[in-house]
Amino acid sequence: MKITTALLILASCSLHALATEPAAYLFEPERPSFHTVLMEWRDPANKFWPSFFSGKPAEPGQLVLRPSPSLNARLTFVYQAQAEDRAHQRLLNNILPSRPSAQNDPLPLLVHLDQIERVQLPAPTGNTPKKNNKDDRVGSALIKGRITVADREFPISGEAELKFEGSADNLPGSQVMIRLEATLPAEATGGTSPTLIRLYAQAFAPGSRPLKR
Amino acid sequence: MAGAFLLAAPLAAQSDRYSEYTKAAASGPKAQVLTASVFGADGAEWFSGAAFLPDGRILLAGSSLGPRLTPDGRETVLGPDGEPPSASATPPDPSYANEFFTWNHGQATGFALLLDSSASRITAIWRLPWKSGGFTDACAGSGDLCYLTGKGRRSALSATLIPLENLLPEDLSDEGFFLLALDVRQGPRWIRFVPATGGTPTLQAGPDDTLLWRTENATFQLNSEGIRLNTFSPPPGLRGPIKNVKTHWVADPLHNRLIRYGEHNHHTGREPWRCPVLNLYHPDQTLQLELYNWLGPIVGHDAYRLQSDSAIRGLACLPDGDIILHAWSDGGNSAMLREPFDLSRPATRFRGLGWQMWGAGVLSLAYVIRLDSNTWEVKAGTQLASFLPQQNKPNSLRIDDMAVLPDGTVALATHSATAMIQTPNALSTMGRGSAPPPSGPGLIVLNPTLDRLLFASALPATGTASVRHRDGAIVTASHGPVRRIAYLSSALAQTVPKNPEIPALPVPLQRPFQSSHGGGLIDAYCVILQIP
Repeated sequence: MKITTALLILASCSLHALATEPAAYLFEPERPSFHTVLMEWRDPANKFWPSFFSGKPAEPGQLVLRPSPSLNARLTFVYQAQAEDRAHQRLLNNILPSRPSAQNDPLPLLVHLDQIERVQLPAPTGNTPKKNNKDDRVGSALIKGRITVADREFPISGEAELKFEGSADNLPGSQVMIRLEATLPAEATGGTSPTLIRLYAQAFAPGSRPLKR
Repeated sequence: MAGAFLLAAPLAAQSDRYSEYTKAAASGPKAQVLTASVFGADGAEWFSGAAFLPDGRILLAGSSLGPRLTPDGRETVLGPDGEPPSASATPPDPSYANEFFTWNHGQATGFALLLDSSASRITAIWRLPWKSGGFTDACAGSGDLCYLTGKGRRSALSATLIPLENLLPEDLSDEGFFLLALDVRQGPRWIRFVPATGGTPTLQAGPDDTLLWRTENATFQLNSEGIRLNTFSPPPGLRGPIKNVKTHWVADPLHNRLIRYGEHNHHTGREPWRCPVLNLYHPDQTLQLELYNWLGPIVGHDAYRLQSDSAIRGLACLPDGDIILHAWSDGGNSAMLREPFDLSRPATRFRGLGWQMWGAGVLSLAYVIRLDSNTWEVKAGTQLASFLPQQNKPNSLRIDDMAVLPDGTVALATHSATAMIQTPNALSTMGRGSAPPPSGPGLIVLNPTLDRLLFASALPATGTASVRHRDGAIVTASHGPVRRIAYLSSALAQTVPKNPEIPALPVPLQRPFQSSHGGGLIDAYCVILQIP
């Protein structure tokens, strides 16, 4: 009898946790104040140095995980690291205009993610996030979209990692970071070999307080 | 506040890291202490430069506030002497703990002394006329020639034995920086002057027997006759103070480049605020290469979690073009542990001394990094910290100054918050028996691959002057064939513990060329090492 009661309590906690895990996450240009989008361009052969960009959602968007997954995120980039030199070994520095790294105007780079399939979600934590709200449960999904580079558009798709974290309010799974790797054709950089892009985009449950480290 | 450490704590209990690393520091060849000595009379004196002559002799330069430099006045005065100060200078702070004497004090007077090649005996002493200006650096030329620089008054220096030439004759301001060429056999050869108000003049040997004279916004390259060959200046838009940017410049004519290093700050909405800057420029002031220079929003993104504030605080160039830099961060999640052109790539050759920093929290960590000038990858690197032996935790260690030998041996003037790792050849008795743990000012020497300590010692009671542009001590290294390093500053006769239960420790001396502290508040202090 006692064991049954304990199991019922455990099941109830688990259901409660499941119920409180957000079903949707927002991409918002104004919230949080810091940059939530990051992109690396990498030469798989390591012949060229990588390029790094950060930015924010260009407009409100949404990642829905339950009951029916969907995704709509337009991501814009305003910072390019190490953008000022014209080093021949730097990927993209000869395509994008030279400008101060910290210039806060949109770069001619836009990512639009609009398809999500084969979503695999981690089990609900059932616990309050640990110190520093680390949660770090990981799921996965196939994500597709398009990237515009200086007026040229290329499709992107790849198996993405969905990394869940607690928020500053100690709400489990209340923010998610999409990590997507995709390969772009050689034309994207004007080179002779394909380029790997690694995109990180964070989204936040409605009403949650983003975790600020 | 930096984020928590990502470095994992070991699963099993470890031995105390202070004891473990001190034991490890005992292995391998070590530097030889030629001398650890004070110099001065009953006034206030400190060293601020050393010139290593090709034959092994060493010229030490510094400043005195008088009223005497030597008890018997045996020094040679370079020109008609001025009126000596009537009394010892009054300390800027009664406890002399928070604010030190500086080289731009109204009574500051430059002096230099020549040591024999074993650094055991003073063979000559020179002094500028009283109150004409203090020395801030020294450098050896060829043969018997040494160069000395400092801040002084043109009117006072014009009265010296030799004519003074103004490098910027259109500016007749009286206050500025001077450069004196001193032949240690025959006396002064020439003096050059540039009007200036800010910064500290320093010297470095240049290629082909030239000299680099660094001032606030320009580096002059001169030949041994004092003729200006080149002037290196930062791009106009990057001179002087810039909002949210703190950078310094190094001219490197041997490799045809100007280097800018330091930090820039970002209002990112989250950490880090300080990000390291390292830019290389062509002599025509166009940008050659950006390294580090990461932006706060990128560094602090959750993809990397490198939230520790980080900044490059010093830099030196090696003859092969490699760059050695030292940096600070307030935690271990630092961009300094990544390749300078690839933030997401850990610097795999940053192995160094192998000191584990887990459990540190927020502190001041020091980094020494050697960059390969062919690939710009990290060729070697190490973290440095002090430790809390009882808690088995790292604690703060600050690098005040760095000098490098041509082979890449690195000397550091440091300041440790708690126990520093010492080598068996340490000068301090701290950490032995019942003595308190070695902390405070210290000297650390690392081998060129930055994975072995050649020397590490706390130097209690030293570091008590404002040398060049900072409080504490400086280090300088020979650029000639004799591999030597000098730690330069000043010293009290003994420490003044804040806690009366802690015994006062005398300033460490070894084979001194002056047998004891000369009185007054501070004497000049130096340690000279021979590197194996």
